[in-house]
Amino acid sequence: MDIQEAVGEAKQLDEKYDLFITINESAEGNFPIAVKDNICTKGLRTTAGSKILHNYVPVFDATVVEKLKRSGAAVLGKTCMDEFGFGTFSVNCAYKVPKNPVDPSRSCGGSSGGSAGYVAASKYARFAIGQSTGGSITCPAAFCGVVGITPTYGLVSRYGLIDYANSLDKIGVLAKTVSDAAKGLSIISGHDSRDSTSSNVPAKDYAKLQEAKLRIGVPKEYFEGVDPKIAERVWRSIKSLESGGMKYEEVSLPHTKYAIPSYYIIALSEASTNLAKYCGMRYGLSSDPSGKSFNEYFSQVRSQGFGQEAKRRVVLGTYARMAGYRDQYYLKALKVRALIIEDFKRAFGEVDVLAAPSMPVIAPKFSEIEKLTPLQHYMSDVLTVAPNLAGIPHLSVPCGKVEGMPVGVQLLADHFKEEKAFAAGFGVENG
Amino acid sequence: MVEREVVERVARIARLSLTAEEVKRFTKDLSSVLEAFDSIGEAKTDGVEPAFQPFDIKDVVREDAPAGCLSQQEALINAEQKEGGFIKGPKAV
Repeated sequence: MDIQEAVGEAKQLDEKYDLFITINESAEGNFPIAVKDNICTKGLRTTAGSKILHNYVPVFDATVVEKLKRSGAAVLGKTCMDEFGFGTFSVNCAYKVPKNPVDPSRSCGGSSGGSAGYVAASKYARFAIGQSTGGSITCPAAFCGVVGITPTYGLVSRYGLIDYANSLDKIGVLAKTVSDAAKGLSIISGHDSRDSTSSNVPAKDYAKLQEAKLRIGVPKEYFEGVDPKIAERVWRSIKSLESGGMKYEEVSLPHTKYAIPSYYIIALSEASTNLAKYCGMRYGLSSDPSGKSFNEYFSQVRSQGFGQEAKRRVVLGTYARMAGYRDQYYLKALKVRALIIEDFKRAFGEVDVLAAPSMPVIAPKFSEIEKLTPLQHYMSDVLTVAPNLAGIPHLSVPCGKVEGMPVGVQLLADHFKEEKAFAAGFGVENG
Repeated sequence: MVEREVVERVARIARLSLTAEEVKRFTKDLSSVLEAFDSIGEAKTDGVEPAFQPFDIKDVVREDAPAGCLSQQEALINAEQKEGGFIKGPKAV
């Protein structure tokens, strides 16, 4: 493949859909890859969608980028995302808002919106790199009609990831097919001594895995409040798995109703501490510090560099950790998280894979997103936050269309059982 | 209901200088978000240990041996305010 042709295509797609923050004109390699802009690429600007990192050029590659380059990948560019991953629709970006290639009046989903849009529209790319904290791979995969794998927490090294929430962040893959997603994950997974949370579980070649007969669980709570036309498409895939020889049964995950508050309190608490490092000195936005006090200088740079949603999340997260509120919010949220994990563990004692809608709605129009309050934004993540809180692998696979827009089914498996999610994914794809 | 003074205090702690408009907006947002999130108070968590991670992760330590690191030039490459090989910051005392 001529990589320059792929670069040319990326530029054309970017003009049409605003998918990239930075395009790498001098990309070299055997196959094209796009990387979410919160993953460090040596010599290639990395902003995490934030103005505070507008001029940051890493002097090192993230481990996933190193692994991709070693396997022959050419990094064509860095894709649009919500600032630091703070969003569900990729509209909270300091640079531009990616448009859904299926219908440009609609969102790509977030926060890995540019990566999903690129995979959906490109003739050349088989997969791109995304990252999820609370649904940022599943949501754009479902909205753009591509496959998205969010692996088990710790399976993929996060060395070189600009973090959002350390106990939740996972790097994963958006791909054309289940098989492409499996190939991509095989390249980027594996232990890394530079990431202290990196797992020692031996890496597998997911691409070699095949369809298997599995027991499927259908969590009833994941169909409440879902667009009935979407629910119908998802049920059709579950029935197709059944006709392929898999058995399904209804299961209950009773603490699902607490997933949104638990997730947001934990994620924003962690985010507000992570964002403390942006102080306008070592890298990123700065100004002349002469004659200013420490607090005055830091506050000024941060207020100029952070967007509205980043400031909102810092305020919420700082509040939740403050003396007097910590037990009521932060600690409570962590205990509820333990209950949500227990729900999944109990279910995986009975079934191999859980199947549910990826998102409760199809990709919304930008004109609809403008009307949402911050709370309504957060509530949109209702189906994706629990698997992320539990750190379990989940795969979103396209399962038809509603009103011309793609719909996804998400397949959840127990920790380090990615192969089961992929096996069910093959079943949906071939069903 | 969160008071505007609370948001101002939180912003000070978080080193954000917010405009009056932002303080007003975030006061409203914080109130409505917390009101909705108060539902977790209903969850029965007596005797439940907080899950700081998705599963138990053991502390890891590396061998205490010298290893390569960034050169001074590399470390300074992204700093705009620098002088004589150092990063320039605001006055500390």
